[in-house]
Amino acid sequence: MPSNMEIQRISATLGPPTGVREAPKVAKLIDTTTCIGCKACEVACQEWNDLQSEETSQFGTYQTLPDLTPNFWNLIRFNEHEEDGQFAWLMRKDQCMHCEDPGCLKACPAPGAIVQYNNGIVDFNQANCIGCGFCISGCPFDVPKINAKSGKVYKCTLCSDRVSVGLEPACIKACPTGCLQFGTKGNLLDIAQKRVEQLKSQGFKNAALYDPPGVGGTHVITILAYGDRPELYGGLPKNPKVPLYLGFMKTILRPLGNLLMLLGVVGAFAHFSRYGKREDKGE
Amino acid sequence: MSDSQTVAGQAAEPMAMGDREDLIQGDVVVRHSLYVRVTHWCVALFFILAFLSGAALFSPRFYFLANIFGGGYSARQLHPWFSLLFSLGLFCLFLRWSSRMQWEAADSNWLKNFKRYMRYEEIPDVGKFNGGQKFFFWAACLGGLVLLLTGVVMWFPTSFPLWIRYLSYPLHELLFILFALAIIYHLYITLFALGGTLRAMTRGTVTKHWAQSHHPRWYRETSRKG
Repeated sequence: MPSNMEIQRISATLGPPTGVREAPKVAKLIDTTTCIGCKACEVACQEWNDLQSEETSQFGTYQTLPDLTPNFWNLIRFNEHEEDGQFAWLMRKDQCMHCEDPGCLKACPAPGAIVQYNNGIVDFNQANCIGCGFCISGCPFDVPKINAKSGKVYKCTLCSDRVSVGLEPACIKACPTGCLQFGTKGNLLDIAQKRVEQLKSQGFKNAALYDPPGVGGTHVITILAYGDRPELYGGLPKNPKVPLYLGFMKTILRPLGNLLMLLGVVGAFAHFSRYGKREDKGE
Repeated sequence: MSDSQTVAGQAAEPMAMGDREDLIQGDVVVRHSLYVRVTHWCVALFFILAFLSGAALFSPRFYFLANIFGGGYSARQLHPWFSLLFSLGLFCLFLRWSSRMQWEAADSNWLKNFKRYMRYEEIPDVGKFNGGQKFFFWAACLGGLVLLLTGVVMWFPTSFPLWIRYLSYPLHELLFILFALAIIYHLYITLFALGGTLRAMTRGTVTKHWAQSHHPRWYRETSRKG
């Protein structure tokens, strides 16, 4: 975890961290319409993050693995799609979306195990991770994966170590078609908008940018030719939301519980002050 | 009863051994058999361990409790095992006590008189267990079951569909709060408020006066047996 980026949010920590430096919000733009499925980004991710290769299984596609794993943070999902007698291969880069409102961070009970930098990157700190897996259920995209041996959870860091020293993420560097771009989110939104317009004029009427508002927008944004049906792209949720139970527990249940427990102890003291100890009669 | 008499009495009275209970032994009445006491303290031990390791994960305000177990990681690793042993002990108590904890009209009456009970007034017609104890017992059994089921979901989250997980997390925490409140009451009432009560779970016996005052019907039935 790089220390030269300002932290915006810390898991299981009361109050916001202090910070004086401002940073532009970064983003990764994925244009699924120009992805050729070469998997260079997968290799670059494995190389840069020094991840062990995983044994895969044959399940009838060119997709590297059935799902993300603790050692595989960047998976191109190969989806075959037929419409109006036409075949299309819908590639989608599955990875951490780096939500502006991260459900994983909200769910995490371990102080400092998940942080969000003020440039928008959400990062796991395995040294503080206790392996409870709460983040797995808190994530609307089913991204964090627990390593069964170490009991720690892993996911894409958006190459926070590279970004912190002014480099782009490894996958961006490796992409041969330019379907992956990295920059400030403002700039990339403009580029994405132009590309979406272009796609619409080319006949993809429902082309759209996937930047779901239910999680406050994401710092990994995806251009979809069939933007009205994101689920075609390997089960991308149409309207992902931070699960409601997290807010309920954080803002209602836990403060209420703490208050009631405190009142219980105070009540016991008050009762003892008023009534003292009950002794048996007749002795 | 003064402290010196308690100490003197303690030396003279034997602990209730074996599996016999509900009988009069000299000046005291055997209330809980050795089996019940050992089971109860096992449940208590694993409850405290599960409670403290769970509290660390409940709220950042209690995260410091994880240090008791060697840090957050080991607290998380140990918590489910403490909880399984707690559940097992609770199940043993359930097998032992469920028949004795059947709800009666007198128990509803006791609950109605709860305020008087807390003002240390004597409630008539109380058997071996009063309405509060029975309520506590059934609530603990039901709550323990819900904690176990939701806990298994939280232990192996990826084996369950999302909606079950979304229910399990808040339910587990709600039960944690209810158990916390129940245990504050249970500890206060047995350790501090009601004199002569703790010995029922340590030595297994209570004084005749205590039995008459707290559980008059139980005392009558026990003395009739002889």
